[in-house]
Formats: sequence, structure tokens, C-alpha cells
Amino acid sequence: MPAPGSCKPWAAPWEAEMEGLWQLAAVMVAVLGAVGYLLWKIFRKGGGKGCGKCS
Amino acid sequence: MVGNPNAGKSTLFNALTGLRQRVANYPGVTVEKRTGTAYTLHGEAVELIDLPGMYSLSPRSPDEEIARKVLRGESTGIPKPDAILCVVDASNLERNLFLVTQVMELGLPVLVALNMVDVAESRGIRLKPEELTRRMGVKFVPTQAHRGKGLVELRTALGQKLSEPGERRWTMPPQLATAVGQIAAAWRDALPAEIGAEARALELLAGSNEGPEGARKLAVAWRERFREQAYDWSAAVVQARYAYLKEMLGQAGVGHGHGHLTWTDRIDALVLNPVAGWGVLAGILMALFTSIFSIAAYPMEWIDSGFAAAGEWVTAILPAGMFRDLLVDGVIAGVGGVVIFLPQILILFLFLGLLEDSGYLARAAFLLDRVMHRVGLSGKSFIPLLSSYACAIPGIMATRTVEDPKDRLTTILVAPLMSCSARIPVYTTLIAAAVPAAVMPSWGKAGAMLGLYALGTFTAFGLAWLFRRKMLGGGSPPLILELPPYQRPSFRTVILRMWERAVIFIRRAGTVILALSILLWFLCNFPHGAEDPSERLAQSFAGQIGHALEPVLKPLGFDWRIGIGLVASLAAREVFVSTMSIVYHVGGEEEGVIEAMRNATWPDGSLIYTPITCLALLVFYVYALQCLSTVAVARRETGSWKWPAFMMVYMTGLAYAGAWLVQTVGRAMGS
Repeated sequence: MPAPGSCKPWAAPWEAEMEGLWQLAAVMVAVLGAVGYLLWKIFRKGGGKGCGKCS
Repeated sequence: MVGNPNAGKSTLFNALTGLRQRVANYPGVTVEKRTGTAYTLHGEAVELIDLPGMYSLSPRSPDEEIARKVLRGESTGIPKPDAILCVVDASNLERNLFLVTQVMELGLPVLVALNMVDVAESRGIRLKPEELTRRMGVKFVPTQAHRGKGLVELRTALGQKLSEPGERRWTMPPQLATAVGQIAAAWRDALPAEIGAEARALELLAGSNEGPEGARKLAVAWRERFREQAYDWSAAVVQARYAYLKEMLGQAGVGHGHGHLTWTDRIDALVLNPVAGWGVLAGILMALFTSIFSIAAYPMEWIDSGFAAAGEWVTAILPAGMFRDLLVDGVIAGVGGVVIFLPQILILFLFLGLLEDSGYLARAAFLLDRVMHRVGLSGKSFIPLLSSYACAIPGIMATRTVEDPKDRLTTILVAPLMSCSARIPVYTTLIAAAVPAAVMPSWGKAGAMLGLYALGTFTAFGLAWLFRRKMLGGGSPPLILELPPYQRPSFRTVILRMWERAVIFIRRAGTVILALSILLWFLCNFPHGAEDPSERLAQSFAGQIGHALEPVLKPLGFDWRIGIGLVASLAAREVFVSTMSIVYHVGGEEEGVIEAMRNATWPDGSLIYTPITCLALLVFYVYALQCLSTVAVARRETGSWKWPAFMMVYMTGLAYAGAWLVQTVGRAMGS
């Protein structure tokens, strides 16, 4: 049985590119989420309620 | 719930509410508000508020002021209580009932938990709860909160209609009675619906500004008259209350105890001995740090393998790429690098809980008071400083019990020098990196750890002396400290406290530490150019920051990668360890980080983490204020940015100077 994609040789690099793209998108979402969360934690109204590990 | 400190109020609160507790702050202030739901025997829910401990309703500290306001129903967002549950220490009835006489005058139904009856009985004190109930007009229920005894009776009483205390039982001195009568009448004229006018009149005399204008004016006039007559009316009230209590207890046949040496006296003879006492304290601390290393090693290993397995699983199911790298090297390594220290932190809280519950902590405060006084602080600063070993945030918040403003400010300024639990991961990793495990047994590591704690503590004392005596000036009040009788610790309370800490620690690892780990991984891997990991790190944003800092850090023996760790851990110290696991690409395993650090070299091939550099880095972490939350809470507690900025500058300066000194002396000695 032929390997998947072997009958469409043009598809392999394109699929690899898509794979890289979704990974980059997921990383960006995670990083932006982390930055957003930290900014919210720092600047939320009324300040933080201590350091969380103890308050 | 109100009561004197050490009357077992919090233990009773825990026993009644179990896990149904919420901890928040009172509006606008940072005094902790603990609320919980208890159930009567018939299943009705009762909302309990555990108020800060206090000796009287005349507020001397912010904690006591809050408690008084809540009892009065004057605290914003908290409805006026329906009833007051007073917790009294049965072995010290006269002093504890003093507060009860004040609470009874507020006009609310009162229930008294006669706690620690076992301790009272062991001292030969005869307790007669029914007789006390009859004479004081409020219900007394005997309890032993730490053993869970008397809870059924208490829950039954909570479900019944409680009697209101009725008229005042102590006799007011005639001179004062006239004044109070007039002021109370003026109060009643203005606010006829309000109860407890006599108590209000006494508060107005004491200087309160709250109340109808007529009553306020009368109070000012009477105060002035008493001052001219040199009549100390407040002392007269205290004497009158105690005279009533003494007589009432005598008539009720409540005995005074046999006066024999109790177990508490015998143990105190040893632990408060000026020589042996220090030995006992050192022994207890040594046991604490040894168990932090030896016992915690097993659960730490399990957590370690858990995170390693998670990393392998993610590697197996996801295709290779940057998202998989983020999950494995960023998220799992970062969060795992911090969560692994949970057992050590729990052991610290287990020990602190056992020592507090058994009554030993107050003895340690007594021993240390002499040292505290030498540096110009009062013994009251001991509890905030001790809490700072867990975390500087509750420590700084606890300074609200320190009445003298200069003492309080000094305590806030030095509290972050006490080694907090967030430093444990950094200390453990660096001690292990400095000396291989085979060379150093766990007692050796414990000794090193104790040394670091001692360094922070003694520096804090030295600086407290400098700040309090030289910078702020003035003397400090004498220590009034209560030494509660020793008792078997309540494991339920201790375990509940550990559970609370575990939840908070894991929540933090899953939020702030997770976000910081993701951000850090991004800074360490982007711009995404070079394929070789170490080259990529050098070219990354984090690498650029580290390289920019290297000239400043080189005199301390730190390279640019340590620079990344220092910058990353500015917000929270424990992030240093996870940063190192991200920087050295070793996943979440603790051993891996230590091994990678031991093998790290300068471009000329010499080792970076020599024992001297590790020591310099340890000294840096003992002194540096690497905690944004501490800065935020210090800002809130001091009311300005001036003091947190001062803290930041002096602690960073001290950290740099300390590390430089270690490195310079180490080099001079040829290490």
C-alpha cells in the first residue's frame, strides 16, 4: 500500500508548512494569553490581593 | 466569634466550619477576614466570622479596631452580627471574662464557649458552667476545641434562641456613673432605637467621635472635668470590672487551682532557660531543616518522575515543532520545576503549625525578645517576622498588630530579609549544585540551609537596629506576651492549614508561574533563528538581556545565563529554578538542572558554578527583594511608594555587595 501523500508529492511540503503554521499560531496564542494574564494581574483595579501563595 | 489571643478561637472555628471557610480581607484594609459556615444540630446553617484576637473592646491596634467595628455592625459590607460567640480560656477565666463583660454591653445575644477545660482542670481549677450561666445571664458551654469535645453541645446552643445579656452587672464608680448616665441619656434621646447606650457613652469618653452631637459634646466636657480632677476614669472602669469578676467567680465557687507545678511549668523551666532554651530552639530548627531535606526527598522524587512522564507523553503524542517545545521545555519544565518543592513547603508549614498549636512559638518569642529589644524592636514584631519565614506578605500584614508606628515600619522594612518559602527551591538547588550529594549528607545540607536562614535573620536584626535606633529614633514599648499552656497539637487544624497552603501554592503554579514560564520560554527561544539550542538562547531576547547585564554581574562571578535567571525571578524568586531548567533545556527534572549547572562553563572552559559562585548567588538571594507582591503589599501598608522604593534599593544594594564580597574574598583565598 502506498504511503499517505505519496500519490500527491506536491502535498508534503505544503502540509509541513501548515503543521509549522498551526504550531506557531498556538505558541503565539499561549504567549499573548500569558502576557495578558500577567498584565491583568499587575494592573487590575485595587491592586493584587497579596502574592496569591499566601493571601 | 471573639476572644482573647490564644483562647483557642481559631481552633474552635476550624472545628465548627471544617473546609467550609473563606479567607478575604476586610474592605479597605489588609486585616484577614475569615468566614465559614457551621451547622446547628438540626442542620441550620450559621455564618461565622472569626474576628482577630483581642483583649478588650478599647481598640489599641488596627486589628482590634476592625473587630470592634464588625461587632457594632459598622464595617462596610458586613451585616451586623445576630449574636456573638465568645471563646474564653477556662484556665485564665478572670482576664478572659473581662472582654465578655464588654461584649455583653453591646446588647446582642451572647454565647460563651468555655474552652480548654482540660487545661483548667489539670491545674485544679473547678469550673461550674451552670453557675456561671446563672450569674452572668449568658449561656456557658464547656469545650475542648483541639479534641473536638463539646462541639455537639455548642452546635445545639447555636440553634437555640440565645438570651440577651440584660443589665450591666458590674458596679460603676459613682463619679463615673453620673457622667455615663448623662451621656447615655443624650445618646438615647437622639437615637432611641439603638441599644447599648452606656457602652457608647464609655467609648465617647475614651475619645470616639462617632455619635449624636449632644452626647459627643457632653463627653468632651466630662473628659475635661476628669482631667482637671486628675481622675483616671478608664482605670476605674477596669478595676470595677475586675472587682465584679473576682467577686462573681468567688461566689460561683470557681476555684483558683492548686498552685502546684504543672507540666507546662516544668517544660518552661527547660525551654525558657537562658542557656538550655537556646539549645532547644536550635535543636528544633535543625530537626525542621533536616526533615525538609530527608523526608521531602521521597515525594519530591515522585513528583519529579510524574512531570518527566508527562513530558515524555507529550513528546510522544505531538508532532515535533515549536508548540511541542513550548509544552515540554516551557510549561512542563517551568511548572514542574516549582511544583516539585511543594513537599518541602508543606513540611515547613507542618512544623510551624505544630509549634504554634503546641504553644512553643510563644516561648520562642519570649526567648528572642531580649534580642529584639537590643535591636530596638518589641517582642510584638516577632510574630510578623516569624510569619515572614513562610512568606513576607502575611508577615507584613501581621505588622498591623504592632502598635508603635516606628516599630511597625522597621518590621515591614526588614521582614523580606527573613528567608521565605519561595527561597527554598533556590537554596536547595544551589546547595546541591555547590556540593555533590555524595559528599554532603542531608544534615550537612540542613546545616547550610540553617546558615542561610541565620544570615538573613541576623542581617534583619542588624538593619532593624540601624533603622529603628539611628534612622527613626525613639524607644520601644515593653513586651506583654502571653505564654499559653502546652497542649497536644490539633492535627486537624495543622492538616487544614497545610491543605490551604497546598491549594494556594498549586493555584499559583498553575497561574502566575505558568504564565511566567510561557513568557520566559518565548524570550529564550525567539527570534527563532539558530537550530543549535545554546546558540539560539544566546541570540534570543533573554540572551540579549543577559549579555547586556553580564558586565555588571561578572564581578559577582555570574554569567549571562545567571543574568537571565535574575531578571526572570525579579517578580518571584522561585522562578530562578524553572528558568535554569528552560535555559539549560533539561525538562522539569531537578537532578537535570543541578547536573547542567555543575557542568556549565565560561568560554575559556572554566566552571561557572564553583562553590564560591554558588555561595555568592545564595547570598544574593538571601538579600535581594525579588518579589513584586512584597513591593505591592509594602506600598499598601505604608501608604506611599517611598518605603517600598527604599526597600528595593537597599536590598538590591545589599545583595550585590554581599555577593561581591563573597566572590572577592573567595578569589583572594584562592578558590
